[in-house]
Amino acid sequence: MAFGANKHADRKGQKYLRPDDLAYFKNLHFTSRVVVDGAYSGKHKSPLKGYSQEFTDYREYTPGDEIKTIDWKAYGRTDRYIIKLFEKETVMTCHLLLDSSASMAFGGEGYEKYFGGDDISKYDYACYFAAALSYLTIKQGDKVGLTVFDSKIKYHFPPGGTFGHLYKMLSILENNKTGEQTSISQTLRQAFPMYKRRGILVVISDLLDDPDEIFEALDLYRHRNFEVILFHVLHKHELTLPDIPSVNFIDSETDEKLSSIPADIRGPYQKQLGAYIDMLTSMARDRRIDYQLISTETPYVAALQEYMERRRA
Amino acid sequence: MVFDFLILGQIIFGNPALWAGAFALGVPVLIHILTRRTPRKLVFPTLKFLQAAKASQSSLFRIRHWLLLAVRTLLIMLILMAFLKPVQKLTGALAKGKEKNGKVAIVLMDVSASMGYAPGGASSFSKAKFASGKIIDHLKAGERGNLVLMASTPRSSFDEPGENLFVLRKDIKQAKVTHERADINAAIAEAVRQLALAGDVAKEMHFISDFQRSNWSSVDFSVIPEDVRVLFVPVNETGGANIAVTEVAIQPAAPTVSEEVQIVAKVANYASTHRTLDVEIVLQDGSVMKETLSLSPDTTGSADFRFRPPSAGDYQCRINIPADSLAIDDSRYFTFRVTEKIDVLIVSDEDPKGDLSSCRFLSRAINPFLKAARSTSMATVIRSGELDRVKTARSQVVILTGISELSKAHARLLTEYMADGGSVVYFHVGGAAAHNLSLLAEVSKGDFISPFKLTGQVNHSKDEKFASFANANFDHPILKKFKESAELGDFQFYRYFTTERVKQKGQVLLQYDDGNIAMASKGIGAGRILLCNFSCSLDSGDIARHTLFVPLIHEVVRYMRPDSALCNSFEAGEQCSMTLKGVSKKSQFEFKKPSGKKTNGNIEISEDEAAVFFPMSDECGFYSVHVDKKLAGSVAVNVNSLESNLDTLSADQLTRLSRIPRAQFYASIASASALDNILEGKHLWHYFLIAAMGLLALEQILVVTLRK
Repeated sequence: MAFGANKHADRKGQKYLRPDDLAYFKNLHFTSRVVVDGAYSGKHKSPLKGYSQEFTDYREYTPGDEIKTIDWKAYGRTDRYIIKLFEKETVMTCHLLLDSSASMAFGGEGYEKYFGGDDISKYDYACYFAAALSYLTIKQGDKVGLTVFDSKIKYHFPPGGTFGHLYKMLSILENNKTGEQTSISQTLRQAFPMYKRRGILVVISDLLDDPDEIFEALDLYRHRNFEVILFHVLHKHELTLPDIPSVNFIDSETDEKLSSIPADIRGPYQKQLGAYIDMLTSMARDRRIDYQLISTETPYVAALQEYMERRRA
Repeated sequence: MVFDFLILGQIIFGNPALWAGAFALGVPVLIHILTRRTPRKLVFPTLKFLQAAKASQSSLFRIRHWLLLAVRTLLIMLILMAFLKPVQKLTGALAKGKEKNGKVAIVLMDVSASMGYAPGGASSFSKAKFASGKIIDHLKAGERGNLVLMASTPRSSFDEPGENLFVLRKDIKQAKVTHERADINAAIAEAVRQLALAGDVAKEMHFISDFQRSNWSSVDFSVIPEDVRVLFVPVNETGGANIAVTEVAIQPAAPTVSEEVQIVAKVANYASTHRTLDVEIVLQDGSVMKETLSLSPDTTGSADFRFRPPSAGDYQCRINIPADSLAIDDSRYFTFRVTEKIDVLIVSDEDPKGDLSSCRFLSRAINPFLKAARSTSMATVIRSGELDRVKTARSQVVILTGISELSKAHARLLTEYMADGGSVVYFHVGGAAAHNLSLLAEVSKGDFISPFKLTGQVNHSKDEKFASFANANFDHPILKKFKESAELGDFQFYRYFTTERVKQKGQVLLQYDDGNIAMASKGIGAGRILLCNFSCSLDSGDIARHTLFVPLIHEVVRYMRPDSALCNSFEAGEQCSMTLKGVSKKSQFEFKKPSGKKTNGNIEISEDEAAVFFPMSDECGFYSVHVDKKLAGSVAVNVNSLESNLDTLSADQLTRLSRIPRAQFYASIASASALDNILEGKHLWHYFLIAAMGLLALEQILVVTLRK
């Protein structure tokens, strides 16, 4: 599937959510693996007891309890006022944290002369991914919030469950410009108080930050029983280095320069990058954090389907 | 042995024009610059991993482009150096660089018979030709050279050194090994003469030979001027294992018909191993006799063959041994003449018909029969003035009796005759004897010293006294048969000389009863003289009246006749000669070489004899003269037997013998590289080529290794 074919949508908010792709999400379902907090009834388990079809326990009536909760059959048998407790079901809140730092701009527009016209940037890929997740979440009646960051939080959308909310978020993503340095850990710490209800925290980033600090920040969320999912987005030429005879590499965030021949350092580079990815995988596994490496070479729909299937399994 | 000094000297280049190729050194640099990729700017997410990757690379990997550039540039440089033909000037090399006023080089190539030695592969001569060609090849344009072939007489390509090297190469190519012995001194003299004409230039003499000890040890190198550089190129450094027939002797020297002839062939084993071989003689009629010889290393053995010649005449024979590495001395040719009778020449100035003359009695004693056909000896009487070389040459014994004073020429002829193996019997009574003996002593230059001096004359003819033999050496072959006979003491002698013995000179056979010496013998050269202090004439004694006289004279002739002589043969390269009888000036003469080809010859015809001369003999075998298309005579030509001994002189020995200043003395083996080294310097191009190939391999290894 060619990404470039519809990357310039003529309608606001539809660049990252193409009608053709929606058909692929029909059978996908994004559910939380942990209990979540929610103000509204929904499909997801709530830590609170409420009204639902699922019985959980009995307790003695105390003044203040609603009369309708008394189990009169139990009163007939025991001559005591017993209240029947049911499990409360609520909606899931999905918090999307999307990296829009300068490093995410790698690929796509501006790189056609190196990688061809069909290439897609990491940021666009992340936006497609975030849009699809948002769509899935809202479609199944849950809420999704979005936080766009680079060195700091640029945009923050509190969770919402309507398609209007979705399109507002997508519109922001379209208009957002990548630019500054990444500081994922700092952003996670800034965002932490903003997320009132626990739910799923989805971080979509190239994770070019100190991994220890990233995971220390994520530990805050884990302690609040957030389910944390890390989507590590890397460009295909970032994974393998481009086939350019000689390159004067410029760091996207620090403007540092390094001249080299990609062919000469491809091996050692992949070794270094592989070690970094292995470290991230290991640290995530230790914290029971879902870590998913995604290459922009893989169509985002396929990547999402694959992740969902793995998650369901 | 080999003076191949390897001290580092300067390097010169044979193809200096190719220095222009130095521009090629820029090619790798140019290619490097042209193919250098202009880095394209690429904004990359992070340099963290790139920097770490780059840091993990080895320093060798990082500089590999420069390394490859250096290797490739060096590779081109080495190839260029190889094409420049670099030559390292060795300190001990003959070449001194470019000569200021030019150079003249005389190549003296040995073409003597020993150069035909071919142990298996290449012969010494083919090596010599190669070395000579190599030396000529090293002459540069404008430099002069000449080729002198060292044979019995030196043969030069040019009268004086010339620049036409093509002719020299052609002459070297066409040169053939001769059967001759080289006259090294003559060749050196010729080379020195030519170099003297060369003017103020660098001068070189190149000796290419097997440096046979027997020939080169007596060479006079002092005639070589000090400014001449001399190079010795031995082509047979180790000597050689050779077996040769070196000599053939016949006994008696001039056999008569039906007389048993003993032919002794000397075979020399110059090899270091024991050899057993068959020696065969091929007689004139084609019959062959064989004898097996066993020879220890470095020894000589003799093979004896006996036969009785059925008829008189000249016999051509050949001794053969199995072929070896030097073929020329595996056969030895010889001729001998079988006569009907023993020829005795009586020289006397007496009246031959006089009743009392000694020559008459001697002549009759030698041939007692009236008919010449029945006799075994034949006397010819001549006067002393008729004495000549031809007459003495055909006589086996010359008897002088009653001669007047000899001329100096005749005295010299007689001494030479004796020195060559002839025998003279001198019956001396009279005033001329003292003069003649002193004259013989004078012309022999010390070879002849009479066993006794004549101190005075005794003449008992008037007082009826006489002297008799009192003491006789019966062990001597002449007198051995008369030991049992008392008649020897019955001889009466009236006239004789008083004598004084000269100690340790000659052998006294008979003495008179008064103590004077009556008969003594003395060797002169290969021949001998028998001095008889009496005469056979009746007025000097009565010896001729006794019956013992005839056998005594026969014993004298038998003893004095040369019993053994080296067979008549000439040395290849010499003029050879022979005599013919019964030819006339009207006859047609044809002279032929052993190969059957016609050759030049001279003939001098006298009354009944003709002397034939072959001016130059260059082949071994029989040179023959044909009179009216019939073989009239032949002469054998052989290689000089010294050529068979292949013992050589080493370079060190040559240094000492030649006494050539060390700075002017050079020696090299006959290999191409050694000659190149000494003539021009050490060629280095192949080392550069090998190094270039090594660098090419290194470059490929670097490319493959650093690509991983």
